[in-house]
Amino acid sequence: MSAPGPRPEPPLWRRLVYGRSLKRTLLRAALLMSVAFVVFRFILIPVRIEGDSMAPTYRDGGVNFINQLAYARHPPRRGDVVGVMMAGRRVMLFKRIVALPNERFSIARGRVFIDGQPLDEPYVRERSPWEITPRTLGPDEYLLIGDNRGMDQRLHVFGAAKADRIVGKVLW
Amino acid sequence: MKSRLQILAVAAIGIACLVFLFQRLFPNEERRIRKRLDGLASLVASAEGGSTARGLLAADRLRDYLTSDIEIEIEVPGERRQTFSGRQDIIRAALAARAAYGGLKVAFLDVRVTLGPGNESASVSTTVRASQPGQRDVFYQEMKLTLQQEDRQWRVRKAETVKSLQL
Repeated sequence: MSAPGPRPEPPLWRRLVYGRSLKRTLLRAALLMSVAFVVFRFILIPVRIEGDSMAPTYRDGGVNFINQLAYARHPPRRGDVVGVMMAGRRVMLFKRIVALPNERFSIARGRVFIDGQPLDEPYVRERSPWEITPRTLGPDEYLLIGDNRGMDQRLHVFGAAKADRIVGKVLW
Repeated sequence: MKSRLQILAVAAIGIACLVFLFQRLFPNEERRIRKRLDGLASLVASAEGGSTARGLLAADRLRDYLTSDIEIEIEVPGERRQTFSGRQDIIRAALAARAAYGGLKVAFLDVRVTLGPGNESASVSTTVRASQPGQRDVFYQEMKLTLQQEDRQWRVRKAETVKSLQL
């Protein structure tokens, strides 16, 4: 009885297609797919930006991710750029949080006022003369506006949303 | 051991196929509503350079998707609020839209169906996506549809735009 010799090397084409062991390659692929599925479904939602309402900070056609765990430990903060649900998560609005729950806000000649004080917004480059009379947000509401304030007020989608509509924070 | 595993695997695949087949042959109400909405979207959409005859045919088929007392309330940014009521009015408006926007593509995304008591009515929350070939801008609008079952067919009774952000 002789000891078995070393296993013969599989041919090059087979090593290029699925490595030394098909079983291991399939296992690795399945593991990778499972991890990718969990990450991109439940943690980071990939998004493609459409439209100019967040210009110049985010341009039309850009790619980003919405981090759904961003608000697991703390509530949304002023200045955060967030994804806001429409009917679901396949299409989201991409806006910046400008005012927090229970705050009183107004917009006069394009400048945002929070509780009577002008808000410093370094991300805004141009301002059209937007006007919103003072109003107070509810206990669970956030004011969301895009960075492109040079747009006509009537064409810019902005306003208050309840916290449950906020899906997460933009990754970068 | 190996043959037992093989039998289990074959059984699991067989059960999955049966479930799939059953769902296809006997769709539940939610699936039927989704299918109706897909049909509605393809009727509202128009082929680029489509003929008037094709438009009229689509309008005639559209009748089957709407109740006679249908109401539509539309309010989109930059436009005044518009209300349409009655099937004839809406078919006329749809024909005009098809003629005005050649190659219009419509899709109902993120469809969420809530069935009413006795499965006689349903409320659908959706995001409508409309695009035209060659146009950079894609239009998205959150909408709420109220459907009613008439003669075993789901028909739209009311369609209204929803403001995702309120002021």
